[in-house]
Amino acid sequence: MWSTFPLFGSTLLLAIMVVASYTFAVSLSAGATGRIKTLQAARLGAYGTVALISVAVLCLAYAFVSHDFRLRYVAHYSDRSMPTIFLLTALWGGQDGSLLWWLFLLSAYIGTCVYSMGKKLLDLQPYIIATLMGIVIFFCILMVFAANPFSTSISGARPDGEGLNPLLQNFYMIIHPPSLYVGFVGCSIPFAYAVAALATGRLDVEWIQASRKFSIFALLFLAIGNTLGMLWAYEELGWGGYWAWDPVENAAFMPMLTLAAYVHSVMIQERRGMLKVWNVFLICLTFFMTIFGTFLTRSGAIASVHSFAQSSIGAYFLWFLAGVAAFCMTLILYRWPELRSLEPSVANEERLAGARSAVTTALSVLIGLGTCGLVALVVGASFQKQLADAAALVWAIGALAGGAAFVVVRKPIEAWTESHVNVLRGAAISAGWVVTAGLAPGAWVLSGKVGPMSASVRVAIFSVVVGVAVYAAIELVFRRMTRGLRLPANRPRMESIFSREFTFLINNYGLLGIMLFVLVATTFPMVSEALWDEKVTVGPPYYNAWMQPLGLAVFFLMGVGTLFGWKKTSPEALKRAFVAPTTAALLAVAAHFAFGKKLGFPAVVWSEPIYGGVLGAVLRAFNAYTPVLGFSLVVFNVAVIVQEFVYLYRAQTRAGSAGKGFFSSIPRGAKPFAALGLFPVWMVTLPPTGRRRYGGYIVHLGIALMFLGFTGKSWTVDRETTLMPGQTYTVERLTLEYVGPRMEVDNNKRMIFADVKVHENGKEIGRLSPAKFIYKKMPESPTTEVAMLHSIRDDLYLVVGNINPETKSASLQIHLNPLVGWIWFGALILVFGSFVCMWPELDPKESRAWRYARGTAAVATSVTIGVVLALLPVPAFAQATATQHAGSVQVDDPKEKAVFNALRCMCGTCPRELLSTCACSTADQTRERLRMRLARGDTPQQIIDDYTAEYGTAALAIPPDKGGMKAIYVAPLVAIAGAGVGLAFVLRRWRANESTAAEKKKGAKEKDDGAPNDRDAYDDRIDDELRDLDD
Amino acid sequence: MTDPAITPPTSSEEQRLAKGFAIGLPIVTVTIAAVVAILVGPATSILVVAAGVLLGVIALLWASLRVLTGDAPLPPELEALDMAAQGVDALAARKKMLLRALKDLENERSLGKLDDEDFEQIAATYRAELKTVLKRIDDELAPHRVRAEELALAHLMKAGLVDLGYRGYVPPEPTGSTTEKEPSVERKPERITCPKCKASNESDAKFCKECAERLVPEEPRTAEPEQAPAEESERAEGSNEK
Repeated sequence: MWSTFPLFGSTLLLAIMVVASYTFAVSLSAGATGRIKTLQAARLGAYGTVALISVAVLCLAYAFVSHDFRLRYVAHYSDRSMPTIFLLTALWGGQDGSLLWWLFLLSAYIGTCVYSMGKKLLDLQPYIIATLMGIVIFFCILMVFAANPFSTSISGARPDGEGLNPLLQNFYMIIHPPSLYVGFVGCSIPFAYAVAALATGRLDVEWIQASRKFSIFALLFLAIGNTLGMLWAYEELGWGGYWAWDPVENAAFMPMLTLAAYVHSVMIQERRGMLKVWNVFLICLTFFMTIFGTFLTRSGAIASVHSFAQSSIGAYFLWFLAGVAAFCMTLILYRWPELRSLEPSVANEERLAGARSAVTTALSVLIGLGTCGLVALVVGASFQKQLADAAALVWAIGALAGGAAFVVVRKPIEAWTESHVNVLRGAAISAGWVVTAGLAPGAWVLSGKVGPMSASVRVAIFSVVVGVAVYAAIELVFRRMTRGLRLPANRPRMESIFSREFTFLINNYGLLGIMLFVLVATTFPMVSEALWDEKVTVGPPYYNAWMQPLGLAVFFLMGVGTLFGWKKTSPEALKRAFVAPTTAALLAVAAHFAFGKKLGFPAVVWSEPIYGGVLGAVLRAFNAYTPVLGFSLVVFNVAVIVQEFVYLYRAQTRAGSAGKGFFSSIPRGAKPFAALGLFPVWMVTLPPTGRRRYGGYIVHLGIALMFLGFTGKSWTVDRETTLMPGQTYTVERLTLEYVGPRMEVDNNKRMIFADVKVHENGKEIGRLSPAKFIYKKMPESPTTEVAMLHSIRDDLYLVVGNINPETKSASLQIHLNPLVGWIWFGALILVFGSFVCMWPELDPKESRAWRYARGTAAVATSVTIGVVLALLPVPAFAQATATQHAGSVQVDDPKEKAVFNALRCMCGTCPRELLSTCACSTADQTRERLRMRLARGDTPQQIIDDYTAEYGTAALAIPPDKGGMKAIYVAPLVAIAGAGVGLAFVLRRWRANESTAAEKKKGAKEKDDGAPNDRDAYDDRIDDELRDLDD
Repeated sequence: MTDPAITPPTSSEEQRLAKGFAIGLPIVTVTIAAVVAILVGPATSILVVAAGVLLGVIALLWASLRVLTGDAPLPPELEALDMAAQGVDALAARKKMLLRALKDLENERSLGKLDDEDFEQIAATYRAELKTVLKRIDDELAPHRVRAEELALAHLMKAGLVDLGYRGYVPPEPTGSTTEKEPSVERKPERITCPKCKASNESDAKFCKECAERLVPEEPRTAEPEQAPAEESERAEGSNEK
């Protein structure tokens, strides 16, 4: 076992599993017994696990640096010519290594988390450690059984490795996946805190406040990771855009949405004690989405530019997802009385009986399923052999295990009669287990990877649907039966719906609405193939059309919500607050209509409809106005935020305000300059709630600027031309002069540049040299090197296609992308805002300078560590097809554009490229063919229909708007509308609370009108405590 | 019973060893790794670091096992913590939430989002509820507070730090405060029974009215020295005041 280094490495992985299991067991024991020494043992075990994971990573690093080509993974991703630094980067370059990298990041988080918990949160610590160890064990299982980085190749050690794909050796591909991973893995920590809170029943705000820094840190890095992905796509891939709504991109986007919703709604729980169930559900959903995202990326279930080599790893993820979902559901149902503060509270014995009955039911059901599976295996019914073997084996083992467990726990069957509430709660829990247990193989089957089997798939779908229906039915009965348990009389109430509490609820509604929409669209290919046996593609045009209205709606809500105050906003004050931003927005609209076209930014831009018919026309009409809407909403949001800071400034500099504070020692006239010039210092002097609030505003400002960049997309100018040396080409206000080609050679590639001079108003403002790099190792797939000229107004983006060696003519693709720079600038502001939010609480008795130093050091360290982990080079393991297919394509006339934008390249190797962007040879031929048809006089619609008939519905860029395909937008829209109705009911309930509260107040006021403002000793005490309150 | 030669190290020795290891191991590993990196090459230095971390793993797991089995004692501050007693203090949580609510309201008013009238109305409700909560907290704490004051006074007396008349300090009536030390001792009973003739006497009688037996023993003056200075000082102060 220790005889060779590769075996040693594999054994290390097993050792990590063992140590993590030990820590898991010890921490659960600590949770059960409450003994401090057991907890200390668990903590030390956690540190040991963390260190052991580092040993494994170091061993893999050693294998790379010492060129140990016995390891299949090392041989695949490195060679002897690579410098040491790239050897280390390749360490995390493939599937197996990136799993180890995920585990390494997780271990870093675990170490920090355990250290920061220290002697606090003693009740929660055991369960936090146990949850994190559970996640560690899952990743170890993945590596040991499915993707072992230390596995050896059968043929033995090679003399030299394959080397890292030179296409992947660029800066952005290096830093984007790791920073995204830092964000993904960070979501595990608040999840662990939530699980611990549910397990112990300590469901107040303790777990939220303790995990707050981790949540913000994870959110920050999800944002950074997504931005870097956009930057990478923009700078490297050469198709002129930054976001393609690729399934993997969406998978990184969705946890960010739910985590952002979580960060807002927990503030309501902190202030009111409301929304406990919702918050717990949100963080479980966030964790689920991060694992789901990784599953999408690694399993190849949905075609994507990020697709990797197909492997069986998807099944493990599916089972883990099912387990996580069932586990979370069980915990939430188990703690339902505490979460809803129901009275009378449920006794422990009842709860235990309910849990045991749930287990019994689940086991009985599994036994039943197992028997069916065995029967199916024996009879050899309509199941295909492959599925029958795998499923029946699993079910048979499950039946045997269930039988054994059944015998052991048969006593609790009597618990059924103990309490009718828990019988049904138990039934609900077990129904949930059943559904999710059936969901995993069902979903895998859905993906079609197990071969063509529509009949069995339909059976699987049917059973899942029935399961869900059973679950829903039991839940409804469960709710009826818990009617005996009441909500407490003094449960939290709202003063007013004109409050930040309510707008945060709307924020959640908006963000999750968007997430649902993206989720349905992303998984639609899988669903459509399963339900209707029809493959579809959901291409960028679909998202671009639908996300504009949704995104702008949420963007608007972001601004409006900021205007409200906590508890209640007085109507007069609200009206006053709306004045300035609304005026600014209306002025912006007017200005845009007046001057937009002159400046090259017209207010209304019409584009092709994505559907025929009314829906298509409506969408097209709305999207035509998004430029002016977007711009005015940006102005609105910025005005709102500036106004908030002005309010703060006024409040702090008002005569008679408290002695401490930023402005107390600054002379009168200098105050405004201090506020602007020393802005960061001003921000960190605020009390912690203030820092979070205004740091949040700065983050919103960053988002507003990013939206300004997104709006610029409406005015993109795309041109293609072929130039001879010396020829010029004018695009908008710029003139491009093609100087000539140039070739350079270095160690591993041949570089062909096209030198271009850029003139504006007769003056030369820059030289660009877009290029094609032809790598010696892969001469058949040259890479496109984009050349860009940045300015505040727009980016000039040049891509060179073919350069004729004889005539020296070059075909150039020219993009003018307005306002793109604002996206990156907005992201920087967002990072600064997060800094302010994460500023640690420091002892106010220390001297100021020392405080600032410590604070800066703390935040800078945490962000630097995150960035270092992100910057440690990690090439993404995309295949070469990504760059080969995306690239320079010549599309001349608008009719052609309409046709090519609606159809996909069906060469078989491009994942989702449209005919208008795919650069492979099949696409070229297809384009020629279709061009000839257009020249002959065929209408675009005819061409599209024939193409679809030839290649199937999957050839369409977006799903057609007919029949069952409508579900792709109908389903999420119906869900969003339904949630809106639900919110309206909540609103009504809160208004009812508001009126009863007002009546109570009136009654109370009348009662003690005799002594209205009797200040007693308590008032003084309250005032003292308020002064000292600093949280 | 235990062979002195194999007595386990004392707790402080073990903790010193652990601390030394925790600091020394990383330093030694990094130093050797740097040296090896320069002399031999990067690959071997990575191996050195891996070996060092592996030693750390073994140390941590060993420490974990020893703590788990109880062979290694915990540092004293950890021992003092009792996990099971960390109950949820619902009243304190509620108080904090109410204070936070009042602070929010003040903030919103200073920012101009809440009119004075609305502020007064809403703040009054929260203040009222906060007062109820504070009252409940005080009621719960009252007996503990009294005990704490008495203990503090006793301690100060022992240290001779209480300066009578200092800032108008009036020591509280000693109400049989020795009860927490000797709960078995009776408080001053209603009537005293004479041990010799079993006659019932007044509670402050020093001699039995039937048989003249001495009822109050001589010892209390030395057995409870803290009490004596208190009584003396009280008498002294009483005479001062007079």
